[in-house]
Amino acid sequence: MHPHQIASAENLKLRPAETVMRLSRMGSFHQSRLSFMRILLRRLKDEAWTFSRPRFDIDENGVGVGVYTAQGPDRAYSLVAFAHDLPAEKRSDRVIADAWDATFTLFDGIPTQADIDRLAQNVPYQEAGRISETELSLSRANRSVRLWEHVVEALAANRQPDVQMIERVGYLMRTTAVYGSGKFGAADRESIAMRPEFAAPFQVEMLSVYLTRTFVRDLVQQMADHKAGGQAARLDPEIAQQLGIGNSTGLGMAPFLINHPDLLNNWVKARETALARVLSVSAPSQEAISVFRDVLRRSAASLRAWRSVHPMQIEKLDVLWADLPKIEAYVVEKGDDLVWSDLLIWAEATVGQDAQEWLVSLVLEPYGDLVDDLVTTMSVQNTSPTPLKGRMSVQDLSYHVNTQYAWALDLDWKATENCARAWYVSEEKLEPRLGERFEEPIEAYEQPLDPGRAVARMAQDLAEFEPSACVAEFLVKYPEHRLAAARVQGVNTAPYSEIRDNTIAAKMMPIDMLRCKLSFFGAIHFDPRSDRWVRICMYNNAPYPEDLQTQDADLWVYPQETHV
Amino acid sequence: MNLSLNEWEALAKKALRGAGLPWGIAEVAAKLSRTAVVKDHKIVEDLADWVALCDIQSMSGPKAVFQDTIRPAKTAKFLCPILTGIAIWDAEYSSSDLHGLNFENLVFPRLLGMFIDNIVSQPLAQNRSEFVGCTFDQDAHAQGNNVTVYLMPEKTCHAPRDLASRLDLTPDLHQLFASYALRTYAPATEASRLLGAGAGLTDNE
Repeated sequence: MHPHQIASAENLKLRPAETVMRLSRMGSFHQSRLSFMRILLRRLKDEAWTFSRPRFDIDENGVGVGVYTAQGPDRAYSLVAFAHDLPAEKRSDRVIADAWDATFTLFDGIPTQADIDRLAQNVPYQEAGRISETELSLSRANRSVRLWEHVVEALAANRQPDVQMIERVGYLMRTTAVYGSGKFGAADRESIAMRPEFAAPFQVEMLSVYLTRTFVRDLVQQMADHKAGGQAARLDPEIAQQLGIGNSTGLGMAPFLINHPDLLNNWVKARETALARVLSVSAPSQEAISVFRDVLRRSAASLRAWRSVHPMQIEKLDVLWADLPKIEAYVVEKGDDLVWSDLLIWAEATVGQDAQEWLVSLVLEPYGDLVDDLVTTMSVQNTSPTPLKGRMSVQDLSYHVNTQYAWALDLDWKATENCARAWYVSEEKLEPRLGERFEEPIEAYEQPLDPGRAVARMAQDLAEFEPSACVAEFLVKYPEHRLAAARVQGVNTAPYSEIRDNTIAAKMMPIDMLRCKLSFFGAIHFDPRSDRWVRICMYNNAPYPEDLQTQDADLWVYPQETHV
Repeated sequence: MNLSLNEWEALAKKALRGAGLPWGIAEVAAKLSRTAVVKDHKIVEDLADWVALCDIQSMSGPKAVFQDTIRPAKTAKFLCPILTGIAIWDAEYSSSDLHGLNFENLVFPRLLGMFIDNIVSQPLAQNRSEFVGCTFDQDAHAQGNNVTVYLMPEKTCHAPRDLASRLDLTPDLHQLFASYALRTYAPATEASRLLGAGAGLTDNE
């Protein structure tokens, strides 16, 4: 018998995709035990990885190279970091930028001088350079100029930086892209996917960013030391721990969720399965309730410190903040009789989606033994396309369209507001963009990121086709519908693979998709800067590599109240 | 140029789309080509010739599937190997369905072989690097030929060799695929740069 007496797997009732996969809800997701940053740090600690800095040659202008090596049970990985002296006018977070404050690659092993020489000729140029199969990622970062200068000035003047300013900004550098999976010549994911440390999604990228955080901390100290002639104050470790790595994320992440339906399904299904397992615990132990109360208190303090300048996010935060006391009161009232399923039912009727999804994340926290094994289900290993069930009848395909895509069939696709946008890629550094279909000449270049409309169009032709014919015959006549047919069949077996909303509507908010993906990374304090890009912070309050064995490598994401 | 297979797949998908295939078919063909191109570099050359042919010749997918002879639609001169390959893959042909199957006026049969490889999961035929487990009686190219599929007897097969995980592409071939991929990109305009993108223009804060 399992210690928590959960229902058997076949009896678990997952929340329906029609509820979970709406954009407004996906745009309310929070990080959880299944977030990729937390998966990585738990592993690094459990396996007692060791860390070293074999090279750190940075001059007084902040230019040079650093190497940070993480040694695991079987293999080593090294972040090779290049620091640059970037003119202020060249600092841009856009894909179209061509220079950055720092550039990075994660090397598979320990690089030789020849490797570093080769990388120095390529990594600083990012998309314009080439890396090889010995490199696993390519990334870059820009300084938060205000905070960077403040910290350097303060340390050089032998004092600590202003903690409130640290809390307000949260990072010294923000990454503007972290490329993996074979991009720009790097190793393909399948070549490393069998390594246990990379079995979960995005572990290469998370490791790269984790080591980047240490490099940035060391770099700012070095710059202060140079400025003060070696007499600068040491950055207080507690202040340093509050610093994360910022991330500026634009539209590129939104198409990812539509282009990788199996991956999206696996992420959300893992989270929903974890929730169902926890909700099936009919009588939580006092220990579990105690853990929940602790993370609730710490996380609420963190939420109250969440700041944004975007009106839409401010509005969402107002609702969330208003919900917090209600939740806190409920938990106090229930005391030791707290039951997770009752809490979630109460929340659904009482608080907004942001607070509901926050609670979904929090109730998972006491149950690592129920939840953490789901990490192994979150990747997609197969790079081959999934065969279509071509012998399915047209009638059956129509049935699945009607049951899974009713939301799309109900829309008037001739109405301007329902197809106002078009996703496309600009020839300018291949930047993903979202345009106004009726105002710009972009329709000819439209990307297939409108599954709702595509399925609705297919439904019209299905209705005219012989119902007893098979899908393969239908697609011989209408090959343009193959993508839609594959999505419909995919959704039938992987219900969380499709966003159940119109992704080309005039009022669609791309940042909802960005938040969904970033929540799985483990981001908190989303700070949208428009409807289509967002800044976040990664690894705030996480232990640095040298502290990993002595500090909490899991619940660091919920800082003690003094560190929010 | 040494490409990762992900880079190749992304390039191929856009080039196939740029040559006129629907996105859904370009995506599947590009995915299948990941393994095909490292088994047989001639696949890359045939794909290059095929995309170039798309602009000047009339090709179509099959008029129908579940026939003994697969023919192009009446309006087209040639049978497109990719549209045809997708069609027989979607039709869930078995190995026995495929053996002896005829294709009328087919161009670049090696490209059809990418799909047959995924239907016939037999190991690589000895001295036959064209496809896994099958061969054709004609090596038709841009002129089109009537071809028949012959599955290799199991006894002539041997274990698959270790496959490379990268693709070396000549600058000329890379340029050709990139030129077709370019057709899927919207020209850069200042309005697009300002309105369409996902980050601010100045981030110097």
